[in-house]
Amino acid sequence: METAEAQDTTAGAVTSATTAAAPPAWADMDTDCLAHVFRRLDLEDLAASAPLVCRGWRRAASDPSLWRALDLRRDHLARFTPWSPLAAAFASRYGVSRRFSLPGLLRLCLARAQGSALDLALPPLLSSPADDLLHLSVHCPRLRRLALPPLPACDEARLPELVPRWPMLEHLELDAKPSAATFPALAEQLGRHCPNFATLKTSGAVKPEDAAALARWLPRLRSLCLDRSYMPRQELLAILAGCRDLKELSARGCVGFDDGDEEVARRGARIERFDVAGSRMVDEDVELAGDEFCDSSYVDVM
Amino acid sequence: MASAGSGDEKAAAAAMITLISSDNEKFEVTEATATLSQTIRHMIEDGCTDGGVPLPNVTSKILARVIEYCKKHATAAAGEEGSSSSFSDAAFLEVDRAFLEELEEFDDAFLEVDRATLFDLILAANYLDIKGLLNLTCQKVADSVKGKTPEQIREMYNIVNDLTPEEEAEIRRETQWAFE
Repeated sequence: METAEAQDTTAGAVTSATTAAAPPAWADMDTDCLAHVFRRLDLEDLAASAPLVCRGWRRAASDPSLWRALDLRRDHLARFTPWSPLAAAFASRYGVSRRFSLPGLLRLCLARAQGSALDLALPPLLSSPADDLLHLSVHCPRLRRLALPPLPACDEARLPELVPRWPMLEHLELDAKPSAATFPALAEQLGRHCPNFATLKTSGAVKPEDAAALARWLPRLRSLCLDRSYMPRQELLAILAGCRDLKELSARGCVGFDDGDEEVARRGARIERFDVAGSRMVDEDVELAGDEFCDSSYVDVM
Repeated sequence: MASAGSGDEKAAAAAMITLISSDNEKFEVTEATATLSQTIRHMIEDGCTDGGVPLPNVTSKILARVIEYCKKHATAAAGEEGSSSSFSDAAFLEVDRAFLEELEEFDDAFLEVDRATLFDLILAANYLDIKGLLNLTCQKVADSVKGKTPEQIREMYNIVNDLTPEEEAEIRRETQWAFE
């Protein structure tokens, strides 16, 4: 009795989509609420299923805020190659046959984001990196975090000229450190055009001109990670002397200085998180792996 | 003689809030429970809770469930605060873990509802701005959709496809251009 009354009043009350009589209409759920659900979907479901369910879901799935953070690195081989389930779904539902590719998906995602992409991480599946990079330099004016795979030398050389298009960039990850021909120009552009730039993560050979460029153009860097780099002691000391605002410096597993070096430890003491564990003056492992190591394992197998 | 005890009781009594559902049912809850809702927290801060808080978007059936959730999570929050000062670290971690496990079990059981209730809970959590509840309920829906085709999703949620063939063609075009 009481329940029946309650339901009668409910029907008259201002409910969004439900009435006591009809089951709730998931198709008509507030775009706002649906967006909360969609924010928790994988890219696969958001891109290949949600827009095709009904009008309401299509509208909610096209909310640019859902496309701001695009981490395309996780499981990228399983997810984005032409033989992945996502490619199959794009073929059957959208008629995208045999042309499915990561760059295509990237273009689609950036179009959905409508210029609001903030966070982008790309795996090494770019077909023509120069075009892809140019595309994302044009369509991501608000980018804050960017992670890029190793690039061919000619594409890497174009990175500095793209930097001014990302004036809000704060965090850059380059799987392969650009060569000493490009890196100083990149540091200069970051220093000139990205006032909030704070975090750099890369790995490769650090030359004197690289260290000098870091000190000159990015003296206010907060966090620097150069793990597994070739980093001569002089270069590390130059970075420590030049980047005085570092709160975090990681140079683990490097070759070129010793992790027990007293001067390095003394200069690094003021940095909150300073980690150079496993770094050696020379790479002993390589020498070992040269002859003896291979021979002995070969003998073991025999 | 004004003992500390009677002062606390007075404060506790003063901190009760009345919530009124769309079907005019009244629910008395503590302020700690009610303020898990940011919407209600703001009302309290603005001093507009005298005579009860009318919630015209939430039925008594759903409000009862929402309050059940808030009570449990408010208790857990209070428990964590209390225990941090009175236990050693190891004991605290132990209690903390037990709390979290209990809370997880509660959340799992709480989600054992039909899809209509789940729908209403999402609307209520969004309207009342209860972050944890919105997370919990939306994640449940997201998990249920994972890996499903549009057809399977429609069937699961009783959705009629109101996209016209023209609109479907448009969606295909919108998608295909990126791969040209």
